[in-house]
Amino acid sequence: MKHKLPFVIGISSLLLYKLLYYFTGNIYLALSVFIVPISMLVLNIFLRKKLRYKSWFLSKYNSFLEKEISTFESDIPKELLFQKVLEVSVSSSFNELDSNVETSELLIGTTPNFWTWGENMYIEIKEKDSETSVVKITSVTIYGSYSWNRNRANYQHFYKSFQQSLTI
Amino acid sequence: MAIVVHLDVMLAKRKMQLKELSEIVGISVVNLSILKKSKGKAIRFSTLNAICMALDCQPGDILECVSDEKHTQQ
Repeated sequence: MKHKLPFVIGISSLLLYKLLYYFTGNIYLALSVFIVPISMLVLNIFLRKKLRYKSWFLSKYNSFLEKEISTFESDIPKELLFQKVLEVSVSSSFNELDSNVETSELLIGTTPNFWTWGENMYIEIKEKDSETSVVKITSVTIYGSYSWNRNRANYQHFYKSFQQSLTI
Repeated sequence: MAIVVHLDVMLAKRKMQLKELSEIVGISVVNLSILKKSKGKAIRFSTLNAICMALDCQPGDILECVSDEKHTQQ
């Protein structure tokens, strides 16, 4: 297990719930144990669509979310590459959530389904030199400290779509 | 050897804007800009055909194979 803390907290919450219910017999009091994790989920769902909350999701102290950073280089100029990445995001299965042209940052996400609450991908384009741009992609779960390889799969899907789109 | 795309030259000869060409051939301005800068990985025959039809030219007017030295100088 990559992050043990959320797992320990999860098990502890379940135990606490059982103990509270056993000793008090009050189901509402026992269920209050889950207020914090549920609030966290609701908060993340509300914050996921804006780039300005990027630091919340990417913070190294937020061990409840799994993050995976990948980078690749391209010989396309930064401004043009930003437009291209935007185009690829729209044409592939991701949803464009937010973007900032000035900082060349883009936020795309996957749709929640039965298996996942969805994942966000923060894309940042930087100029390495006059000929090369660097694309930094951070894939992060919305809720859960283990992505079941979805972060990696999202990046690979995006990268494949990007490469395919260069055949014009 | 490197393939250089002379789309900008042909556009200037035909007095056509990139946006105008984009509307005619049905390819986004972003993709045409990448093609113009010779940064694409490959070009489809259908794309080449559409561009040649729109600009009334031959593939050789758009594409040129140049030596690496000449390409670096450009």
